[in-house]
Amino acid sequence: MQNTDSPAHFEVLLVDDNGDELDTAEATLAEADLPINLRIAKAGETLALLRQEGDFHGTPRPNLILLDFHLQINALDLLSEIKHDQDLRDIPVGVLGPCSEQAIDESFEHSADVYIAKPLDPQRLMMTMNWTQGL
Amino acid sequence: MPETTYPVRDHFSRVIENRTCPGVFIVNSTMEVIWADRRAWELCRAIAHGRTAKGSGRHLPQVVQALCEQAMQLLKEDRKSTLDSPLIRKIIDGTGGSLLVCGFGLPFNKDPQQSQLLILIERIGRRGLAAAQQAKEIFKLTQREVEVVQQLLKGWSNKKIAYDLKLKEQTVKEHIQRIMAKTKSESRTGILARVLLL
Repeated sequence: MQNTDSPAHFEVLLVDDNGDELDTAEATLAEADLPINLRIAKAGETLALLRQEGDFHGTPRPNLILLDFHLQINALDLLSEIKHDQDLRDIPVGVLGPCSEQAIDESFEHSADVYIAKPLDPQRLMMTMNWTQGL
Repeated sequence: MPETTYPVRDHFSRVIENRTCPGVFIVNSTMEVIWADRRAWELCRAIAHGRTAKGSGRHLPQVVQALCEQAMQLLKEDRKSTLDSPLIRKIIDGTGGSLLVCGFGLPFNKDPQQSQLLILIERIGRRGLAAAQQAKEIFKLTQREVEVVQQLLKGWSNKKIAYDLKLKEQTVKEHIQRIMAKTKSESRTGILARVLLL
């Protein structure tokens, strides 16, 4: 989903391979009418999108990346790759995952900026946006 | 959407804007961490014996969880909190110095069981050094007493304070007794609370 109707929106890139969860997140966030442009990427295309390669040329740089903990590839590897890329490392990354100590530990060990327990609801997203803007 | 559905929205913004560099996390009514930043998680890990036992089901160090439970109880009793008046405000020992933990209520009007707590956790090192100087004026502390307060803020023991300030341990105890009297405190933690919460 990409909402481009409103100006000066906060760009959020949601990386998630699970279609059902995406539908739910999209519906919830659309209902909340938050001032965001939500862009969705599959795990495998995330780095190309962030680097604006190929078809992604001109894609806006996100203000926030939300990375699902359970991707078809290892989400933590993708997180590390983003955080080791000099051009991308400054983009705040929130990991969306289960309410588990191990998942939280592993996410922060791989340089996540915030951890958000699922489900992604408008409140948790809003908090993350506020936190990001306070950096 | 009614505003009450997302109570955190304004509250959180104001808290964040008014703090320097705290760690932030949010727990739900069953003490699960549902949102955390890296700073908060690292500080929780820095608390002595902070790592929770594997399989314990707990996300937080025991001392932090106890504070959260206390705050949640206050929230259920409909106690209000503001930026200046959190539900809980406590200094706890951490590796490398003391930590200030403040908890704010995020009531959920439709269902109190869904109420949450916003917790700020921060080191009090640099902030404490400035506060100790401020306390000197307010509580009429001597320069030596200020030095002792600064050591307390680092979480040091009497023995360590005595070593650093080249004093006898008994002298440190006497300084602390006098500081407690001047600040009307009954414990070392009480001194820190009085100094930091000026």
